[in-house]
Amino acid sequence: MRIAIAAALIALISSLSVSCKPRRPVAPLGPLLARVDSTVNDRSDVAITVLNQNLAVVRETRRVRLAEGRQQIRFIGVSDKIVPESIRVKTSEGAEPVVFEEQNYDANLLTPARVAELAVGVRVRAFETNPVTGVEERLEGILLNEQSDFLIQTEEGVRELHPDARIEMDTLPDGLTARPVLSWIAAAPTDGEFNIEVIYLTRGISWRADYVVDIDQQRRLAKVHAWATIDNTTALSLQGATLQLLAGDVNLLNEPIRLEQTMIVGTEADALPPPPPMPKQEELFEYHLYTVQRPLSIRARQQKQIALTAADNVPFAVLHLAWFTLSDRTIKNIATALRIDLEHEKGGPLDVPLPAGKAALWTEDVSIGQRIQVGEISVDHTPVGEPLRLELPGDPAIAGMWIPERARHDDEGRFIVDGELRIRNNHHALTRAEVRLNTLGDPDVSLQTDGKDVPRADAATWKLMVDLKSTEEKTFTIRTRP
Amino acid sequence: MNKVFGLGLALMFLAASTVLAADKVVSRAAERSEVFITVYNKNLGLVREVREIELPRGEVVVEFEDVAQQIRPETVAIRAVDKGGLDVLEQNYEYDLLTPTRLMEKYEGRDLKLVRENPKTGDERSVDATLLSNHGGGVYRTPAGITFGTVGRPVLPELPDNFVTHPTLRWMLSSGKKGKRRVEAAYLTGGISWKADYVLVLDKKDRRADLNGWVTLNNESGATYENATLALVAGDVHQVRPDYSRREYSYRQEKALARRSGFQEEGLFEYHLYTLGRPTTVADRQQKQVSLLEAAGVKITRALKVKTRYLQLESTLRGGDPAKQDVEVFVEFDNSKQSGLGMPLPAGIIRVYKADSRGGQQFLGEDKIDHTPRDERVEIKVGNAFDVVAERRQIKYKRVSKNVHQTEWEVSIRNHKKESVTVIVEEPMSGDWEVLESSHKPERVDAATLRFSLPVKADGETVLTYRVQTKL
Repeated sequence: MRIAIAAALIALISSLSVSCKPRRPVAPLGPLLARVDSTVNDRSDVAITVLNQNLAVVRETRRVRLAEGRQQIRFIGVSDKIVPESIRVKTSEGAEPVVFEEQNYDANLLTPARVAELAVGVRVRAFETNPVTGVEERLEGILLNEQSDFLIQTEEGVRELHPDARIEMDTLPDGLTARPVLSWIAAAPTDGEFNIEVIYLTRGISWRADYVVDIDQQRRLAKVHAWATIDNTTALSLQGATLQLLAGDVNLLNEPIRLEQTMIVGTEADALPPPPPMPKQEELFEYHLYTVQRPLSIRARQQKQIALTAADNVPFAVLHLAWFTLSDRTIKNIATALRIDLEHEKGGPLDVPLPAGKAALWTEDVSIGQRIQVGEISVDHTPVGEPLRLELPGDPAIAGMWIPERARHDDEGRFIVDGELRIRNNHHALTRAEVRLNTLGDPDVSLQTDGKDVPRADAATWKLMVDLKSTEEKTFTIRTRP
Repeated sequence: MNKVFGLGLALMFLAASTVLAADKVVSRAAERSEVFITVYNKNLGLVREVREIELPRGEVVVEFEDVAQQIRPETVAIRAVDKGGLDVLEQNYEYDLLTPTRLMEKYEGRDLKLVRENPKTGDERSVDATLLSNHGGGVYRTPAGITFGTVGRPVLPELPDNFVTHPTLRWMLSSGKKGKRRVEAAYLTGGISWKADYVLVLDKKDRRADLNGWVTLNNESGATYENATLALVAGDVHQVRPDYSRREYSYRQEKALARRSGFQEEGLFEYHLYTLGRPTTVADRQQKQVSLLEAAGVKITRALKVKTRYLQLESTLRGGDPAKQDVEVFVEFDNSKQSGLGMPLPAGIIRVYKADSRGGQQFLGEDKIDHTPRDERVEIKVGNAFDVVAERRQIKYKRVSKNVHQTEWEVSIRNHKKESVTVIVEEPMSGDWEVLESSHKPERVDAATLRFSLPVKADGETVLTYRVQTKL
């Protein structure tokens, strides 16, 4: 059966392929074609759009002189992390465009191992240094293998080369390149200069927003400053480029991991307002696009920061959160969080879409009279109309404890528990805490405290609002009822 | 014989394809007159090449070099394409590559020379020796006695038989006549594959788009094919691994294809075959792109969807907050004549672009498409909407009996855009389910999917609630 499949496959394809009639051998394509090399010096225009997901779109135009007819154009100076299948090329002017017949991306890199591999069977010279006299001995012969412990066939016979031997040959084996080369075979309608426009995707370039949120606890107002941090890990270098940043979750196959880097912020200077002008924002498809209003340079392996937005006097709301799981065991360390919702409304002080990134939260430490960074929070893409939510896990202001008294599973499999909930305010001021209660198991029960039903937050969560004065502790008796 | 071979080998490398002895011929890539490659999607290529080889009349050993490194030797078939008769008596694929260790193993019991270097003076002295054994170091007999350890550097008078420097095909052939013969070899190789890459450029209003298809060919087979006729097969070819067998097969002569610069498509069996209208060079470790198809003004639709995966229905211990959900953006089109398309689309990656206000093309996202025949619909996930937010909450759970329960869900969609949108909400269902009540009209897509279509006004919010009873 297997034989039949393999043979059928070969027979099938062969029978439908091109004729086997004797034909004059075709001369090799390569040497007949003239070659044009284009370098970054030919660039007349370059723009880059950076995405949040470790990907960028590079668009560049180069002025290249072509001759009439077919030729090979080598395009030097693209990103080393290019996605070759994304490359698109065209010429803009003239009635008749240049026809790009095919595009090649050659990555047969020139390495000692590849050279050795291709030099097998080739006459080489080898030099071995006599360790005592220092005299170099010259051998000539055919290289027989491609791995270290090279064997060479000389006039005298086969011998192994000394590990320190040096191998020389007259010419490089064909087809090896020092770095990947992008080239096209293209036909130009006439002699002359053409604008070649190329667009491609490259990995290794990413951006994120870095927010500095400085909250004034007395006035309940915050300063929000956002930076766009662009990280270029490629060898691509662009001068006088138009920089655009795309905010949104673009669908990518084999999605590269978002670049997670340590924040550069950490000094108070970062809380200063960034200089204008801010990049221009526009809607594009279901995303937002930011265009930096001046050309700039992005160097290879560089991290760059650009001011994105700034707003003062942003009102915010603070919520102290505590989560209790009504288990059959005593729980002393309950989960808490401090949630700050910054106003992010149309017509408000912060009236721009906020791209995903990180936020550094600063506030004044009354005890030392200085501004300190209290936390770092990741931020999702946040459209105008949704609050900018910064949630710090572990709220030092709130502490609590759950002490169960009786617990059982009823006949229907529901978990019935009675117990005591204690909650304390460690803070210096009056605090309102939102206490969330979860039961274990089937949530088809009701929850009561002091004879009253506790309202639900969702099918499996109940919500209790608790006002606590400074250092006050309150105790609630909780009963679950089927 | 050994001596002749050893000397011959040296000569062979000096001048490729020189007739060495009366009974042995080496053929290299320079003798190729025609190359045909047919490439499949799944890392498989069929190479067919014709070489002009000088053969004597009668039996001859032909070493066929410069084949793909990833050749499947059991698939090789050879025949003459000229008249005069050529019989294959035997075929071998030699891969006993030279290494110092393998070389010494083969030299057991044989005579060689040991070259010793005086570490003080650097003078060299040669000693005749016989290698007695080579297990974890050599043991030699020299005129002075048995020796081992640091005995010197062995120099071998010649290469032993059956060693090759590259994996080599070796045939024992019988040629009916003397002279230049046209010999054709066909084989399958791994390491070569192709895929389609598409570029979809949306117009300003997302109503129409231009589609360009490219063939991306990737060659890592270990060989370069100069001036090859390139054909691609689109479709999933069944492969049995790793056992292929060789068999004689016949050819049907066909008219040569007209010279064109692009690909010509034809149906082939249950697949589609694309042949490039001109010869091309496929270099080793090269990625090549050639245009496949073009279509302008294809009718497209844009859709926003909230597709819930089953696990998201589970409530978490840190509950109480609604769960955020992605609002996915899709671009869809019919692969039909009416939509401005209607051609077989080989599987590949489709990348979506759109011009910004300055005219620069921006990348919007990418997705995979399957082999798509005519008149089928293509759905491309482009990304997630920035300005449309979806949140869900389970608001009630009630157990009706042991295996029947009711759940009530709330899905809120907030639209922060300037225009109104319609969002499709697709909910996963299991068991025997029934919607008892809902704020919007429910639609049963299939046994496991419940769908709602929610209009959301600009700067507005639409809240969907529904109660479903499930019997497991």
